[in-house]
Amino acid sequence: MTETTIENIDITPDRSLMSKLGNSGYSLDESIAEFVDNSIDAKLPKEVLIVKVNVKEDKISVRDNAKGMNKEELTNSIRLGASKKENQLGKFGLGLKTSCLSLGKKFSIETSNGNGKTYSIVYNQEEWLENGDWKSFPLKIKSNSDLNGTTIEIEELRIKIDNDKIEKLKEHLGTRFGLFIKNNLLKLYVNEEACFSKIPLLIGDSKNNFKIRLIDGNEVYGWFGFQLSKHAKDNFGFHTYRNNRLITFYDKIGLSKNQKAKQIIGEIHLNFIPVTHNKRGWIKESQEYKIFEKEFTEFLRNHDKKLKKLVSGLSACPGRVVGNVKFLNTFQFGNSRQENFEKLNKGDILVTQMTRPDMVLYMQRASAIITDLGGILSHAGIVAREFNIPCIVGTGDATKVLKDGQNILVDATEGVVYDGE
Amino acid sequence: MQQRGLFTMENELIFFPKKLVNDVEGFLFYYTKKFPRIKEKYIEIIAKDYNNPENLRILCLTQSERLINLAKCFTENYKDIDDKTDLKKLIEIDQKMHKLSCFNFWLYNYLICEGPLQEFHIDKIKELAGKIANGKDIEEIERNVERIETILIKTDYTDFYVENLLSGLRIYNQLNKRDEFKDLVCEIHKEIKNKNYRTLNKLVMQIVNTVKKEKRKYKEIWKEFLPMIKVSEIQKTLLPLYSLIMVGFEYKEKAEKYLKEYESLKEEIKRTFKVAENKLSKEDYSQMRTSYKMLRLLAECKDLFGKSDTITLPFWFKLINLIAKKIGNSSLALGQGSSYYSFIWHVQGDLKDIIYRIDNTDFDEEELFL
Repeated sequence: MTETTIENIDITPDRSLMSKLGNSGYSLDESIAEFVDNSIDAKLPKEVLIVKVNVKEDKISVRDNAKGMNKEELTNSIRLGASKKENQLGKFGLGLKTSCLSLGKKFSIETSNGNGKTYSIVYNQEEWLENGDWKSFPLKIKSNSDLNGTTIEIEELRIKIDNDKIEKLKEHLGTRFGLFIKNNLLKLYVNEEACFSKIPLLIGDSKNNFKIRLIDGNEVYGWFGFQLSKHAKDNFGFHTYRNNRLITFYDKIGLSKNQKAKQIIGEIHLNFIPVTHNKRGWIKESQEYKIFEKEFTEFLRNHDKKLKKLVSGLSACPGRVVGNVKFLNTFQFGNSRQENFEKLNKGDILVTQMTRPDMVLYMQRASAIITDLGGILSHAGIVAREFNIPCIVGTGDATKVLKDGQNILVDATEGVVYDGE
Repeated sequence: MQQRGLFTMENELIFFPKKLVNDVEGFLFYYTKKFPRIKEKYIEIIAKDYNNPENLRILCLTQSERLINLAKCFTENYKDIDDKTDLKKLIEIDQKMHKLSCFNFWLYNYLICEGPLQEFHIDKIKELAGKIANGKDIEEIERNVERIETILIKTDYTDFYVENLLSGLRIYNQLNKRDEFKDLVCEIHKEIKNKNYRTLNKLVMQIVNTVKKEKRKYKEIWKEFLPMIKVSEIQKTLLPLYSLIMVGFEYKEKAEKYLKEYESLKEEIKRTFKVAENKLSKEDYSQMRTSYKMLRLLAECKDLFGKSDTITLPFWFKLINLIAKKIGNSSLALGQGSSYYSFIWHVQGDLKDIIYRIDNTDFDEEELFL
C-alpha cells in the first residue's frame, strides 16, 4: 500500500524578486506616469493636485501635495500585490514598486497625511540582496508638521538621462494627463516647467461629440474630428480613457486605411472595459471590448471615407491646408481684374493658370497656390518657396476641374488636391 | 548608364524628354518636328555637362550673351516691317524668329533649366537631405528634411521675382520716412481694416501722382514703381501698382522677417554643408555640392535667358499682330505659337509650306538675316 504525507514548505519569495521587477521594461515616461497615477488616486477633494517631477542625471524625484499615506498604507505600498484600489487603475498593487525598480537600484518614499507624523522607507538593492527580510523591513517614523503629500526619490539610476528624454517626458505627461490639466484638477511640472495639455489642430476647428449605448447596456462617449496628416503619419486615431486616465494613444480602433492626407482624431471614454495589469492597454479578449469594437466600427463607417482626388502636379513648396478655391484669371484684364482678385479672402486657395508679379499681394493672402502651368522655377514656385506657402504647379487643368468656392484639401507635400467634402 | 568619373546618370535622363512642365505653347511637339536637330543639340550638351556646373555656366553665359546680341541684330534688321510688308515675308521672318528662339532660348531656358536635368538634381538633393537631417522625433526629422530641401533648392540666388517681393517693403519704408506721406500711410492702414479696395485705389493713386510729379525728389520710390507702371499701362488697370504698394503695407512684418531670414540663408546653407560633410560619404557629399551648384546655375540661367524676352517679345508680338491683320482677322494672334495654332488654318499653298516645312539644318546666324 502507498503512503501519502503532507509537509508545509516555505515559499517566501526569493529576495531577487524585488530586483527582477525592475526588468519589466517600464520606460522613464511610463514609470513617472505611474507615480502621477498614484498621486491622482490620492488627490484631496476640492484641492488642485500639484505634482513636481525633477529629473537629473543621478536622481529622480516626484513630489505631490495629495493626501499622503499612513503607516499601514505605506507598508502596503512596498508590499508586492497589496492594493485596496477596487475601482481605480492602481488595483494590481505592483505599479509603484515596478516603476521605482525600473528606474534605479535605490529608492525612498517619504509621506505624511497631516497627522503630525512623517513615515519613510528606503530600499537599497545591494543591501536587500545581501540580508533583506520580507518579514522585517525598516520603516522610519518622524514627528513633523501637518503637511500632506508624498515624495519619491530614486538614485543609482538604471537609465541614462538626457535633454531629449526630458522633453519627451514632458510631452508624454502632457498628453497622458491632458484631461486633468485641462480641467484644472492637476498642475504637473517637470524640472520646474509646466506640462501642457496638447490640443490637436482640427480642420474647421470642429469636434463631433458622440454618446453610444451598446447592446450590452454599457455607454461609450467621446468626440472625433479631422486633422491634416503630419510627418509622423501614424499620429492619428483615438486617445482612449478609463476614468479620465489615458490608456492608449492614437488607437486605430474602428478606422479604415483611408487615413492619408485627412485623418480622424479624437477621444473615447471606456469606463467599463478591463485594462491590462500595466494599464497600457485594453483586454481585447473581453466580451465588453468585442461588443464595443463591433458597434464603434459601424458608427464610424459614415465618417471614415476615402478622399476623392481632383488634380495633381509638381510640389513646388510642401505643406497641407484645407480651404476654399478662389480662381484668379491670369488673362483677365481691365478693371474687372482687380475687382475679381479682391474677392480672394485671407486663407482662400488661389487657383490660376500661372501667377504674375501683380498677383503677389493675393499670393500672400492665400493659404495655398495651385497653377495649371509652370515648374519649380516658375513665378509661383519661387514666391511660394520664399514665403513657405504650400504650392502645386503644372497641374494642367486645375482651373477647369476646380470650381470657385469649392472646399478642397491641398496636399502640396505629395502634389495632390482632394475634394474637401 | 553614362559614367563620368565617380558619377553616373541613367540613360533615360539624357534621352529627349516627352513632356516639359512649362511648355506653354506646345513647342515640345512643334519644334522637334520643325527643327529636328534640336534633339541632338540638347543631348550633346546634357551628356557632356549634366554634372559639371562650371562648364554649363560658361556655356549658358556665352549663349545668353549671344542670344541678346542676335536678338538685337534681328530686331534691328527687320525693324522696318509694317502693314505694307508682304505676308509671305512676314511669315518667313516669323519662322526665323522661331529658329532663333528654339536654338538659343527655348533649348536653354526650358529644356535645360526646367527639364530632366533640373529634376535629376532636385531628386539628388531630396535623397541626400534625408540622409543628413536629424531630430528628436519623426516630426522634427521630416521638418528638417523639408527645410534642407527648400533652402538647397531655393539656393541663395536672388532673382527678379524675389526682388519684386521686397520692393513693396522698400516702398513702405521710404513712405514712412517722409512727413508728407504720414497721413496717407495712416489712412491706408485704416482702409485696409475696412477692406475697401476702391478707396485704397484712390490713396495709392495719390501716392503715385505725388511721386510722379517730383521724380527726382522721390527717385528711390520712383525706381521701385517703374516696372509696375509699365505693366499697369499694358493691362490698363491700377492693379500692378496697387498690389506692389499694398504688399508693403499688409505684409510688412512678414517681409522683414523674410529679409532677416534671407540674410542668414547663406550661413544656414554653409552650416548644412558642414553637417553633410560629416555625415555623408565623400561621393554623396560631392554630389550634393554639385547638385546645389547646378540648381543655383539653372535659376540664374532662367533670369539670364529671360532678359532677351524684353528685346524679342515686343518685336515678335508686333510681327504676329501684323500677320493676323494681313490674314484678315486680328483675333488669330495667339502669342508666339500663332503660326502653328491659328495662322496655318487660314493661309494657303506656299504659306502653309513655309510654316510646316521641316528645317533639317543647323542653327546658322547668317542664314537668319539672308
